Order: sequence, then structure tokens, then C-alpha cells
Amino acid sequence: MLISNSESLVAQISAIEFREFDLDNGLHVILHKDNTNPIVSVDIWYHVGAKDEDPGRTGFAHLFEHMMFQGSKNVGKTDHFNYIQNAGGTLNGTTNQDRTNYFETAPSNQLELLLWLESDRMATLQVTQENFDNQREVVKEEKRQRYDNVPYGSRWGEMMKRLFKGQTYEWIPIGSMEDLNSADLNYAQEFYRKYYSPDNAVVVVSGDIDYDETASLVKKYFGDIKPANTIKNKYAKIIFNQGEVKDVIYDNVQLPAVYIGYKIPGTTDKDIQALEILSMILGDGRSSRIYKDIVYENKSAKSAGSFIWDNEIGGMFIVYATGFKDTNPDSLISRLTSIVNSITTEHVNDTELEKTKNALENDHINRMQTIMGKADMLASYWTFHKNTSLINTHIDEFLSVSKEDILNAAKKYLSSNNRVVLTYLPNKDKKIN
Amino acid sequence: MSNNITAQDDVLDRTKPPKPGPPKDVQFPEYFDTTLPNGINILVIENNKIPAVSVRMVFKDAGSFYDGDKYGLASLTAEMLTKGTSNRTATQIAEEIDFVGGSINAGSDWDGSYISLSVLRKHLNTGIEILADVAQNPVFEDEELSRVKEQRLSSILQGKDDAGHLSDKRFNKVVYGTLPYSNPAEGTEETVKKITKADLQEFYKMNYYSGNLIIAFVGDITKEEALKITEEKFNKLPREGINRVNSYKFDENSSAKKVYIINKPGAVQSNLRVGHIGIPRNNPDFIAVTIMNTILGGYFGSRINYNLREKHGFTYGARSYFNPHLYSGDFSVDTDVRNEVTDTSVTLIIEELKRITTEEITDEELTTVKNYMTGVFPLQLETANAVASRVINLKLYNLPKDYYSKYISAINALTKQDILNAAKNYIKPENITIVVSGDAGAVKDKLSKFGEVQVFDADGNKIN
Repeated sequence: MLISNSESLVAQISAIEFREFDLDNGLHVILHKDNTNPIVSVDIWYHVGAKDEDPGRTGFAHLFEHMMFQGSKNVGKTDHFNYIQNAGGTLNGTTNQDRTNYFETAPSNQLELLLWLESDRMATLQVTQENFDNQREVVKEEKRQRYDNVPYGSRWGEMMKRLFKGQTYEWIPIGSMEDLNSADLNYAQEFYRKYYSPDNAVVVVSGDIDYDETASLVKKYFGDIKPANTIKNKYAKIIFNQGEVKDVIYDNVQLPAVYIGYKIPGTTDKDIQALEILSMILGDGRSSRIYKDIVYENKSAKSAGSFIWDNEIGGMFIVYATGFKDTNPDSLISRLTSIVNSITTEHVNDTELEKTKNALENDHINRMQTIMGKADMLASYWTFHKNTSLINTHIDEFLSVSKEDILNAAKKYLSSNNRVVLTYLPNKDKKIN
Repeated sequence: MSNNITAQDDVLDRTKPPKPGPPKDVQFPEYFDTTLPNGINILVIENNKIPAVSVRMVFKDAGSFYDGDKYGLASLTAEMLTKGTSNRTATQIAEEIDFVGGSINAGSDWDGSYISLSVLRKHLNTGIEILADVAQNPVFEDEELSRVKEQRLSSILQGKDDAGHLSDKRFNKVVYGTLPYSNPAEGTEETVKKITKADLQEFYKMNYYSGNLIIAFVGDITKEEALKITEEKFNKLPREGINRVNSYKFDENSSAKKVYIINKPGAVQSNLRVGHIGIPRNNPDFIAVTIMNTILGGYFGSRINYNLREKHGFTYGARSYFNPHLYSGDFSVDTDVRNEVTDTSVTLIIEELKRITTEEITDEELTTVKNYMTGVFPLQLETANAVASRVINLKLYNLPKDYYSKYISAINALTKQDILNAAKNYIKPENITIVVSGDAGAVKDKLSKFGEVQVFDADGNKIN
């Protein structure tokens, strides 16, 4: 048993204790005990996401996530929900580019029920044509509700389509209507067989538990599930500095907006911490450079900022602004660009750096408030870094970033030939040719 | 470093769900509650699990309900608190609180105005200094006001593209009739333009006083510290403010069985609101109504969500809500469905409303919902802030002090007959208003079977 107890710079929060081990079938198990409240969370991450979809099958990892709630050998359609709600629990699942997770929180005396349900669908999911067709329609409505019928709702899909053209991350998890319509049951069964196996998953149990008892329960329910030994698709390389791409998109919007995306490396790259800090100094909150300049002093935008969106093997550094009705979007783009450029030529100042580290420390501590928050962090550090103890030490890597590191990262990634610039304009501005 | 554990030899029987262990007793956490001579109600929800503190100032019954004809006044007043004081400019406020990694936010809703601070324990003094300053010394400076107003006007403009926002506005206008809840809390282009510094000062003077103030201290802080801070730092507000006389009377308007379409040409979905007037938060039947509504449309396993999503695949989700305020409330079923099934979805919703008001629910439904509501109760008390929200609501809506200690037994005492009574008393299928944001051309004709159809544009002008 590995017990992590490393000293951290953040001396005021005690280290998160956990235990982890592997089952023979390759399932990784992480347990974290927190007896504060009589509740428990189970959080399973399957290491499969939109980037594992085959061409012409976009949206499939997410559609499949819906199928996981449609019943298994010993659990009828909708019974998964019924069992958990009957136990006084809450549940959901989410799909992103790199992983699909399933999680529930319930009173701690219901732990075994949660493990039974999760293991039953890992081992014996029942995918029927009727349920598949029903969930396909549900997902299409989800796409309409969250993307197609929302002002600026297409922005990240449009951004990634251009920024990652011909590379991994070219599409977003919701996929295209065309691909959703052509998705078929055989592919679903194949997808399940390939990716929904213990050797492609981590189970985290967090909350009011006993370590030994929980370890044997997890073993009892998951120990006999066979591994798939899948060889995953190869991920196309992320290529930087491919030249600037600029485009205009007309949408059902009232206000012009600009979205600038720079390509950055993956989650585990050494530059990521510097880029995170950089994005906060540039555009996180009312005392950030972009906000103070564009929104506050020059009153040229209603809102503006920046953030990073990192994925496993490559991500985006986003700079954005929403204008007023009569704002000229080109002037927004050039103003944003000059603020970004200023950070690639000179060091940030000490105050900005210290402020950002204080904010990171604050966020880190607040994430430790809930058992599910901790479960997700543990799962993430294992899945992407294969190093669970980063839950206690990762913050130190952020706190030790220097001004030099930031300048280097800015120079490396924030040049105009490494970006896509999208301008959103109201439909009514469309020139009729 | 990991240990391999070998699977057991005996075969597991997976056919039956495992039995739960013995349940643990759930108690609503203890908290400190006192009122100072100047009227300030101090609450302390102490929890030192993480070294962080939140302070939440709530001015009771001091929200948009009192905007008068200056819609947007309460929310602009709250927003301007952090935009400059007699000691600090807007930029200084932002920089000082950001520097310690904390946050200060101010806002309002129908029933109150709020200022909240969230900060690590080691920066508490800095946070309190700024919080006390913005709460007690705002200057409502003209230049800052014009900036905030311009942003607000743009938000109002943006709202015209948001289907849900358009539906809510129309629904509230129709359903609340003569009550102020029918007005847009964010304001309109007309009202926001007219609001002046003097208006904000007046609203502030009338509504931000110690007699209607709750200060909740949450997290890594003791009651002695909280008392000392309050006495030393929050002693500048006047004792009295506006003399509240709520003389608003709801008058049943004639909106029933009418259909309102807000036309969004080219929309690929209809955003629906089907409902009518509801109940205030302190209605004595609130718990029975909540249980009834949970079965009807309040959670994933509800009848409406099962029917529209799992059975028919018409929507990503459908929910029903009793949305309670201090003096009244509303009831609505909300969903987004594709154009072709808009009328069918309304028909299914109406069928569910009729069914819950005419037939008793099953034993199984009652057991499940009781298990669910009592089971998730401890989940909803996981953090000190979640506990604080509930304690503040007791105060804000004048609920009995033992409301949460009796909550679980109140749920467990309900019978199928109680649920039917709650449905009969508070759900009126014959009295519904139907609001749709969507493509009028695609859905209008099919909706006329539900009542007279009126079509509006996004600006609220009638267009048929």
C-alpha cells in the first residue's frame, strides 16, 4: 500500500492521504478517506474521449456515455438512475476530449450499491437498437440546446476545426449532426469492447470509508472483469506555428465578439504552469491587463479576458473580447494582440506574479472542500500524469514558476503565426453579394 | 509503487443489488445565531476543514421588488458597491482583493441584496477591510456608473438572442400580472438609461441598514472573532431604513390558456415555459409541494423527464419548478424541444399535469422520492457554504428556526393523499400560460389548439 504524505510549500493545508493499487486485470484503484460527512463518492474515469473517435464518427464517445445509463445485464433501462435516487444519491457522467467519467455521491452506507452498479455496466452493458435510437435523439437535442441554438455556441468547434486542422482535437465532443445520424449499433458494441475495460479505467472512492473494507469491496466487484488489452489509435501530432488563420462567422448574435486561440502543448508539458500563470496575468479578473485596458480604461469591450484550455496532448491559449454594438472588431483584435505582444517582450512584474500565485493557492485549497472535488483531482493526476501524489505537490510547481519561465513560454507560443482569429458578427451585417 | 491484489476465487452473484449498511444519523449542523443592539443578525457556521473564510452580507427584503418603475435599480446599486468608495477607486478594490487571491462580489435578486467575500484565512483582515469599505462607503461615482450602465445595456441587448431569457421575461410578465415580480430585474433599455447617481444613493440609503442586515461568517472562524469584527468594522450603517409596507395584491389576470410566441426566425428548437402563479417560500405546504413536484418534474427520474426524454427522445431534459419568492412565486415546466415536436411536447406536459392532479401516485414513487429527498440531504450539507445558504434562507424567508431539524421527519410523514392534495391545490392544468421562444413560422399553427396565440418580437412588440 502506498501512502502519500509529502511535505508541500502550502503548509497550511494538510496533505491529502490516499491509497492506490492495481487489480490483476489492470484496473487502477485510488481510495481517499474523509469521514467529515456520512457520504461517499465513486468516480470512474475511462481513458477514452473525442480524440479516440474514428473519422466520420465524431460525437461517438459522448453518445456512448449516454448509452452507459441505459441498462446492463442485471440492471434494467432507467434502473441505474432509480437505484441511485432510491439510495438518496446523485449521479452523472461527462465526456471531454480525453476521458469519459461517471460519478455518483450517496450516503456512505450505500457504497456497495454504487460499486455493484458501476461494475455491472463495465462488464455487461446491454446496448439495444431502441435505446440507441432514443439516446441519439436526446444527444441531437443536447447539441441544439447547448451549441446550435446558443449565441456564439459554435465558437469552440469553429476554433478547433481550424487550429487543429488535420491533427488531434480537430472536432469537439458533441460531434456533427451528420455523424450522429449515421452512428450505428455495431460500432457502439465495438467501441464498448475496446475502451470500456478495467485496464483503461481508474476507480476512485472518496469519502466516509474504511480503507481495508473498501479495497476488498472494489476487488469483489471489479476483480473478475476481463481486460481488453486494446491498442489505441495513434494520435496525430500537434504542429505549431502553421501561420495565422483569420475568419469571420455570422451568427444570431447582437454584439460582435473576437476569439483568438494560440496552440499550446499538452497537460503534462513543463510549459503548462507558466502558460496558466500567464493567462491569469493577462486576462483573469478585473485587475488583469486585458480587462483594465480594454474594458475599463478604453471602454472598447463589454467583457474581455484570457484562459488556457489544456488537453492531454495539446491545447489552446484563448484570448477573447465581446464588443459593444458599434465596436469595430478589427480594433479589438489589434488591441488584444498588442497586449499579448507586450508580454512576449518583457518580464511580468513581481506584484502580478505574486497575485497570481495567491489566486492559485486559493483555488487549490477551495477544490479540497468536497469529496468529489478531491476524487476528480486524484483521477486526473493518475490518468494524465500517472502520478497521483501530484495532488499534494503540483501546486508547488506552479508556485515555483519564475518570470523567466513565463517570458520563455510567451515567446514560444504566443506569436501570430501560431494562432486562429475568429470574429463573430450579427447575421444582419452579412453583405448580400 | 503499487500492490497487486488477486481476484477472489468464488463467483460473485451479480443478479441482486447489495443491501445498504446501517444508515448514519443526519443532523443539521449547529450554528451560532445572535442579534446585536443595532439590529445586525450575526450567524457563524464554523468549519475549519480548510483554512478559508467566507463572509456573506445579506440585506433582507431589499431587492428588485422595490425597484418601483426604475427597473434595474436594485441590481445596479449592488453592482456599483465594488466600483469605488470614499477610500478606494474601483481599480484599487479589484487589485487589493485580487492580490490576496480572494474575491468580493455584490449582487441582488428579488428578495435581497448581497455582498460576499471569499478569502483564505491568512488574508482575512485584508478581505474584511475591503468588504467593510464597499458595504459602508460606496460613492456611486458618475463615470463608473456610466461604464456599468453601458455594460448593462449591452447585456440587455445580448439577452434578446437568448431563448431561455426571452421566455422567462415574457412568462414573468404574464403570470405575475400586477406584482413587481413581473418586471425585468436587470432593467430595460429605457429604465437603465434614466437611472441616476441620486437614484442609487436613495436606494442604498433606504435599503442598506443594520436593521435588515444578516452577516454570516462561514468556515475557519470562531464566533468570538466574528462578533469582534462585526462590532468594530460594521458599525457605520444607519439603524433604520425604508418603512416596508407591502401593499401589492395579486390579481388573477386573464392570461390562462393563452399562447405567447417570441419569434426567433431560424431557431432549431423551441424553448418552452408552461405554467402559472405559484407559492411564496414560507407557504406551510412547501415541503409537500416540493415532494410532489420532484415526482412530477423535479429530478432526472421524474415523470415529465422520463416521458419527454427517455421515452420519446424529444429533449435533452425537461424539468418542472416551483420558483418561490418572498411574497409570491411561480410554477413552470421548462424544456427545449425540436421544432417538429413542439405541440406534441406541450400535449404530453399537460397530460402529466392532469395526471398528477387527478390520480394518487404509486407507493413505489412515494418511497423512492422520500428515500431520495432524505438521502441527498447530507449531500447538500457537505460544505460550510452550503449550510450557510440554508441558514440564511431561514432568515430571509421567515421560516421556523427548527425547519431543518424537522425536515426529514416532515418528509417521511407525507402520504399519497398529501401529495394529491398538494397537486390539486397548487397545480392548475386549466389555468396554464404557454410561452415559446422559437421559430413562429414553424410552430405557430400547431400551437393554436391550446388557446389564442400571440406573437412578439425579441423587443417585446406584438407582430401579428
